[in-house]
Amino acid sequence: MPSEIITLQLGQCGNQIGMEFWKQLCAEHGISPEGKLEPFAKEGSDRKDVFFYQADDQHYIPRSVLLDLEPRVIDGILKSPYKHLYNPENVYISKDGGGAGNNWAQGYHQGDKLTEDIFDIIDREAENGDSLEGFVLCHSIAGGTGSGMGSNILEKLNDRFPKKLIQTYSVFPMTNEVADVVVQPYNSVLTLKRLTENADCTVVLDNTALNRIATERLKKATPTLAELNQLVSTIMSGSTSTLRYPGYMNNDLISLISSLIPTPRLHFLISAYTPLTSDNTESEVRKTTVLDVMRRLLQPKNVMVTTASRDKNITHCYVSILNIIQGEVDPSEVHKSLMRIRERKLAEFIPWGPASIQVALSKKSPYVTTQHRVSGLMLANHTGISSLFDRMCDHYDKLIKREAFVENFRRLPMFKDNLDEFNDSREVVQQLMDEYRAATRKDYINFGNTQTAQGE
Amino acid sequence: MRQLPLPAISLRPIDTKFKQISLIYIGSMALHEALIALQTGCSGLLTLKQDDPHFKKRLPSIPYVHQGELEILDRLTQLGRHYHTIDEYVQNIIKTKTSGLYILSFAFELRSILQSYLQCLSQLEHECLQNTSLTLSHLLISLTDYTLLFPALVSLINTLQSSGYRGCQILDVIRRCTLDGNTILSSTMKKLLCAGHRILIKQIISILTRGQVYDEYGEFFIGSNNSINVEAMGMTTPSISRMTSAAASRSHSPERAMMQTPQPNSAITPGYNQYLLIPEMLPSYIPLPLADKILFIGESWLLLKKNDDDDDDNDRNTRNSLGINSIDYDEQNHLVQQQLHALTLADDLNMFELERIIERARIDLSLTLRNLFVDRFHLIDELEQIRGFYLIERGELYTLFVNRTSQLLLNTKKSSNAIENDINEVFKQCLNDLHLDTILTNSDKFKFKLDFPPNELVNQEISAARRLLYRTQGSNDNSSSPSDFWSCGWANLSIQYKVKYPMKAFFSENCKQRYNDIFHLLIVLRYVQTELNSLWLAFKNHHRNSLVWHLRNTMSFFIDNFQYYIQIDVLEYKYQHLIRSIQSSTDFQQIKHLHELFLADIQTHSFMLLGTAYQSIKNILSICASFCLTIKQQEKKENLDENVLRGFGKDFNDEIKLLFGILGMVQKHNALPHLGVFLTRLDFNRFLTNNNGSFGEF
Repeated sequence: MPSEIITLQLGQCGNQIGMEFWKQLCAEHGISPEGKLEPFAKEGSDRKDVFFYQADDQHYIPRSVLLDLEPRVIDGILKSPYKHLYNPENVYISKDGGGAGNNWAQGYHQGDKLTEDIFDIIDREAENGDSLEGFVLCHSIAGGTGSGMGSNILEKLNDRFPKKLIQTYSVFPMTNEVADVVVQPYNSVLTLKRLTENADCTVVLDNTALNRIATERLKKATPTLAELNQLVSTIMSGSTSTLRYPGYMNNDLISLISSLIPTPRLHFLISAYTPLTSDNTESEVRKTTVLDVMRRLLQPKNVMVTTASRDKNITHCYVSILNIIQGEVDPSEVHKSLMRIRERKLAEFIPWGPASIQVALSKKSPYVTTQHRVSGLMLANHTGISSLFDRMCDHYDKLIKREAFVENFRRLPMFKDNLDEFNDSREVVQQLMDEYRAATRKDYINFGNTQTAQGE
Repeated sequence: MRQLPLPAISLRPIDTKFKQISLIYIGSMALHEALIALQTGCSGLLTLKQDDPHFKKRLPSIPYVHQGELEILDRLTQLGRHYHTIDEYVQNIIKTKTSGLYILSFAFELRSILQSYLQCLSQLEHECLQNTSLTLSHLLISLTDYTLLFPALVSLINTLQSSGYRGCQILDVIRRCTLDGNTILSSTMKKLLCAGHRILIKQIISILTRGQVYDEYGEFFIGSNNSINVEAMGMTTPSISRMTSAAASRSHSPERAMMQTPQPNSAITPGYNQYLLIPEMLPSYIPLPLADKILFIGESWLLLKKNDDDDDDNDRNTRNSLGINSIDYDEQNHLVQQQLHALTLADDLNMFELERIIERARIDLSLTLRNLFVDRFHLIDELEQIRGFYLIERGELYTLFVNRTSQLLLNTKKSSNAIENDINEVFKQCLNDLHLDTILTNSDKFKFKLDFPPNELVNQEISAARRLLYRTQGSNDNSSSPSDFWSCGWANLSIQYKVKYPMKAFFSENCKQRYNDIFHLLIVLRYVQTELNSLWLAFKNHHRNSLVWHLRNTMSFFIDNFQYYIQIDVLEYKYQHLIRSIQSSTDFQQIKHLHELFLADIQTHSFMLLGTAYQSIKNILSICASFCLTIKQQEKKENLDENVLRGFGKDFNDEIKLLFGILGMVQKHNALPHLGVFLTRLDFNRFLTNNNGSFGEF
């Protein structure tokens, strides 16, 4: 079963997202919550084996590893109808069960201690398939487990599986209001360093934007956590749809990622999905055409990251765009839409190289009925993402200037002697932002060289 | 013929003492002489030397005979001489029986004209005997029709004899003679033509209702096709087959050779290459499309009735079902036969009616065939399979296949059974691993083959634009190493598709060749893309040396877009269109035509028919391939030689510029409607336009 993908769900947020993701996948492939193939699921042209494997009794089991330092969320999953779906060996809750206390250093440290146990699971899972393509990690970067343990695992994954892809779906915290976790800026910046250096592709899911979209598009005054997670799982399942419902092209992860990421550091992707519906609301989008879908995907209000199109006198632009269009689509419609978008200059692109909107056509699951003929997902590399990092760094800088709340960190080995790791991470994030800003300029081609000189 | 029931015939010119007798019985003898002359072309009165029949000089003057009467006698003699010529010709034809049905029928018709002439003579003789005072003028007047007709017939015979026309060709000649203002002449000619048409209609009926060419003498405008391969080879122009480099080696494949061998005892293999049209035999007044339709109907009958020798047991069912069908056609056949027969009864062949009958028969048959192929033989399923294998519709399958055989095929330089088996095994394994065996069910029909062109051809090709697989540091020039990308296994991989009866009727050799030509491009594209992607993987943790990244990215950009253009913009679009047309069409022939159009369209739109552009694309592909291989080789070394990279960048850019130059020109002429799609994609952010058609400075 080639090009399998292993999903790692970390921490509270990661497991909640993961839960929604597997629900969605089961629905799309006609797999019951117990892992049995539904009797109606006769149509066999989908690929279940990328994300599932079959047990001896033909049950489908997700290639998923559930990790947490506290039992609450995973216990919840194990009480849900999906409790028999997962391989119980792949569910790992730290024995002391105390969690990471929203402390990156705590999570990182615990991750370090649990390395052996965790990688026993991951290695076993990796050997289970015959040619693993990569890992998908879902987590939040604000808390302790997802960010801290996530960072630790990222470092080790990259070390152990240097030729495997590591993609993350990372939930970024709200930046426009007072954080519920005070050290969240610390956690974020420390994690961002690992995401920059050890992940190959990060799909950034900005909680601010998720909330905004849920409120605006779904007409919810206060969206529930489940609804937010559903948004994320829609993105996750959508972006893997060409792997699961293969067509002519884009049927491995690498082909999706490599067309989006021109240089290794610029691997933070924004995403959008349209039309969005929730179970109990009528969708306001009545008619869907390819052009409509593609145009909506480019509208900032649909993008799951709040980015500024301009900051510090820089006009941000798209490095690359991949639109995954699901449904019955006439290829000529796609072309007409592209022409229209180009004429109206709806998307600004980089000046230093050729770039276009890549389109991948994907089939829809025959088992999930949707109100819409066409739906679309955008994954894009946009330099404006640096403004998100910028906001995070602002918060971080304010805190670190006062060395606020650093005591919790100092208690752990990494920060025992000094706070170099903080500065180092901040530096990496700064370089990242600089590179993204440089990517808006014509001379970006030479940026790499000078930066290498600085870096070495 | 010789035994004319007339007493006159016994009065043959006997003696040279005629002069004296004539003096006595001049009145009645002149008439007799004339009658004899009319039958033989010579008479004692006119001939000086009996032993030389060709010396026919009339005596300048004969006493008691008026000069005017002599003139009339002359004319009558001439008529007789024509009769003699025609008669001789007819006798000759009937005796030899080797000149073919058309000439024979023509001769029989001539004979009946001659008979009526003789009848006329006997009538005259009768009159002469009853009334001795009849004048020569009476004879002349009575035979006016023949004095007009015979010279024309003689000249027609001369034309036929001198030109060596035979079979259907003579119809043309005769028909030209019918176009005469003289009604007698034209109506007689029409009769002659009609005789020829009777044969023609018989032959047409034979092929229309039984699918057989009844043509012993090679006279019909449809003949059996002795070299089946001609069709396949003929369509692919030499330049294309050279570029795709598969056609040349087709004869090496043993299976194919087997297929080409004619079936023993002329058992006919169904398919649309059994017969062929012989244009030079086609009378000019029968339109070529009509002849094509006749050909199509005939071959369709063959298809419906006969069976393939390599049918195996599970095909027996289909065979039976065909048998059932053929019964239903008897009635229809009968109708066609009657209608056509009715045509021959009229003295003028009603072309309009003929076309109508044949078109109706064709429509009926074509509908039946369409229903058979689409509903019973699941033509669309077969096309789906073909799309899966040749057109790489199951992308994941080929991604896996390319990944698994990438090295093997790269290092393969010549074809061998072992390697082919390996490749096929790997492919089968891929199918199993992806659980595609339930979807691509016909995998046993599709076999990979390595078709390496013969050596001398390769050398010619390479010398034009040699791209080395590995570029060593510093040496940008072409060395003599033969490791050119286009000589490795990837560039010479093709699929052999074993078409079973009855699908053979739909997929000609030519179609398969075209599918393979398309497959060549798609598989190489897929290979290069996979290599570029694996370079991404190899370098993902080297966060440095952007030149490699940028070059890789740009190449990938081109390859991805080109692939999208071919697979989606062109292939998928055209394919959907084809399937829709098949579903809505009621005409098998049209479906077949649409399918061929589909293939031609794809080839055109993927620039295969644009020599220079296609060469340029091939060069780009090989630059990308060798870039990947070179970088991978040097990956272990710490520093990549920047000059090597820049060399690749320069080559790549040069080719891109060239390609854009060509495509820009094509676009200006609006020759390819889909080209704009491709160019828009590549130049979406107007980078190419702003950079003079280059992808950047490397």
